[in-house]
Amino acid sequence: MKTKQYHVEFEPIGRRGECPSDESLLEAAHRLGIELVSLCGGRGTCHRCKIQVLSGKASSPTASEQEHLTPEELANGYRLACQAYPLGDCTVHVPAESLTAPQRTQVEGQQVKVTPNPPVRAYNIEMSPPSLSDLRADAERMVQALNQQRGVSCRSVDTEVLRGLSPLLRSWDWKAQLSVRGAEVVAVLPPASAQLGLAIDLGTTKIAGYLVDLGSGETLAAQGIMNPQISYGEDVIARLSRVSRSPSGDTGAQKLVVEAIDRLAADLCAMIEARPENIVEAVVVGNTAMHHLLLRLPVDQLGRSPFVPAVSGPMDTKVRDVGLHLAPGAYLHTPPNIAGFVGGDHVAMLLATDMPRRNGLVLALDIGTNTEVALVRNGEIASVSCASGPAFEGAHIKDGMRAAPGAIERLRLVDNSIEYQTIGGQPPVGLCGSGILDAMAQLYLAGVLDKSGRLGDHPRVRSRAGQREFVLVSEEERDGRPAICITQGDIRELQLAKGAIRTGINVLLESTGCSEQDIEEVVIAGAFGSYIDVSSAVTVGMLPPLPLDRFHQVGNAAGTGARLVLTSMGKRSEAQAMARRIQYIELTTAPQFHDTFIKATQIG
Amino acid sequence: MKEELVAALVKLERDEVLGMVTQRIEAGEDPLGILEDCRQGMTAVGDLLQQGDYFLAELLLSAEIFKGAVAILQPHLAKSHSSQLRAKVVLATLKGDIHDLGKNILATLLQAQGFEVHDLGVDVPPPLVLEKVKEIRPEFVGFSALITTAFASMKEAADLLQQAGLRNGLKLMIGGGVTTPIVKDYVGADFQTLDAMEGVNYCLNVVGGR
Repeated sequence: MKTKQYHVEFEPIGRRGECPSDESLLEAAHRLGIELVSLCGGRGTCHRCKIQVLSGKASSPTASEQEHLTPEELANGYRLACQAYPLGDCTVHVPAESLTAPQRTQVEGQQVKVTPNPPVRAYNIEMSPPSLSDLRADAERMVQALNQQRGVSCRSVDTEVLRGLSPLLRSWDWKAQLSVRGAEVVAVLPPASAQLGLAIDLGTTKIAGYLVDLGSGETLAAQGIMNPQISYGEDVIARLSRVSRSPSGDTGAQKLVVEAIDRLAADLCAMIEARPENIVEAVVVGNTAMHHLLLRLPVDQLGRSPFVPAVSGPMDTKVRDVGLHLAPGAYLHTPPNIAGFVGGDHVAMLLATDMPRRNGLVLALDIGTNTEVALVRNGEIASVSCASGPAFEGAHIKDGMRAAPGAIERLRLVDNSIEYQTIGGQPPVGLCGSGILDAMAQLYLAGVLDKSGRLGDHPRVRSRAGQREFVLVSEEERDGRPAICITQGDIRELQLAKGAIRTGINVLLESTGCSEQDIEEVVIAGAFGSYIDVSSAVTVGMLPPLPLDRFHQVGNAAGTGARLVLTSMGKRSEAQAMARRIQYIELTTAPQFHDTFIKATQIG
Repeated sequence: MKEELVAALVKLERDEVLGMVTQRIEAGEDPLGILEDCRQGMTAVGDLLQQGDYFLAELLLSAEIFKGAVAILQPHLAKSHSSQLRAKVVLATLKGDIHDLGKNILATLLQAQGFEVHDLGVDVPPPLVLEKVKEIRPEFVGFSALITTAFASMKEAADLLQQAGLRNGLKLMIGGGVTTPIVKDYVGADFQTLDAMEGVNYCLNVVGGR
């Protein structure tokens, strides 16, 4: 069949464009820059990309749509964007709840003092101009001046630097600042330019960026954005499988993230009136999948058992090789990863919290779709990765959502009424991770949930569509809009998620022969971990029952670790040495895994 | 007596269940009848699981109690009748995937219903499935998956069975978080579900048991 082009208009955003008939409305929306939610990566299973075709013709509803949309919705033109293809010019309405809302991306993290020992150093030099009696080439002239004036010997000048060198030296009147990395000149800038470094925490859903003065180690600007690869699926496996499936998909996903980092770098530079060309070194930490996708390493084997990375060691790649537009000769450094599901971000987190130097027994967690847990005993580190799933990010939860304005983030059950707080103080739209956790803990404390997780009787418990649910915000309280509830099914999802995390902790304790009461400190890193009420996490049994003063929420420690690796060669080699020593435990092959897990799904 | 036994199993009263089973067998009752009551209890547990009233821990506990009851009945069963098996089932999580929670639940529920379950485990290469099917000639083969990368292995295993001429006469089931009717068609399976109890009911319907 011949592909036709149709004009599709997305309302109320007002984006429009020509869309081929073999492109789903979801793909078209993503291509036009509309952030439609897609948790499943376009397989028609998550039912989040709901849109309404206002006019024009689209393909007939698929079985998945007929099953999950009500007859009224279907009659009114509601569709799942990933299942619908245009058959003519269309106008499409995108409801607010189908959009990835602007989200809280976290950049704060502890400041760790470190003596800067940067990989790139700046040297100001002056050269004598060439003459008929001095015919040395520009590059040699520059390198010799560097050696004579600053005592630094260089063996090479980056090719891309050479391509722009001659006119620049002349326009700067033979004065320049050279950025030297090892024995290579990686940038030539006007005298007394800023020497900047870029540290990136590349998360599955969020990207945090930091602009750092390489000389002082000081952070000059920080910003968080969403990872646009979300259009390739919300979780790592969905994204990897989509990239593996489509022959052209891999470069598309890579390009999306590179463009986002470029934009982030430009924004950060604009905040301090610098330019991306002043960024002479970059560090990216991320889970192994994000790392591989960025560096265009093969990912097919990463998405299937036994989940082996293509490379584990640290890498130094020219930024231009991945497509980034910083100083043209700059390098991108990526710290080592530990395993298919434990990446350089975990290494960075352990580095930032100074785990190798801790005495006693310390537990460190970075909670997310995949939760990495490390148990550190006198500097010896053992790590596991738990498939905690996206429930705490709001996925697979009936009224779950990301941490965006209107999300209930704190919740208390007082007698029979609910007190809650939403992000931005806006009217409630749904529950984000910390709110979901609070809800579960409060229902358990009130005796509405029993240990097994069964939702018992309560004036606010009702039955809908064959399922019990607890009404948090009723239809009346929302002026007739659907109530915000937590269902029996939601509770089961949460039990699996919190059970996975607790199983990781228990297996680590078992394998090292330690008891949970001996844990002196629990370090909780990451965005979700920073916003949760720790007492709720302890109440439901996600975390061990320890005195609350032993828990420390440290914010984005991976981002802090990235900055350390950026500014200190000492920290870089420390990261390498640590990564080699980390004992990785594969959870599913641990003895008693199954029984431990089932026990850990119980509440309390 | 019958209702009490079923109810005790549903309430997960281990000692009561085992006590009643012992008492009834000592009173000379037909062990098959007692076993049938226990099965009914397990069916009720499965239904509660499906409704969301019960969860993994309850299922695990009920399966242990059921096994205890079977252990008491076993010697008497052997005396009275040859064991009455409904059908054989081969289950596996195929190569590329290691998630087996759903598969294990299905195995537990099927065993309680009198099916002979051969669980090949996780990350199973498709040729191993073919071998097992050749060896024991099951009525059902079931594949479980939690990650999409396992679809290719499902298809490969299904094709191997087809090529070996073993596909007719057996029902192929797939299940797990990422499976959909589309995947069912792609693999060429007979049945797909996200719900273990639905899987059990499917098998029972096919063998004409429920």
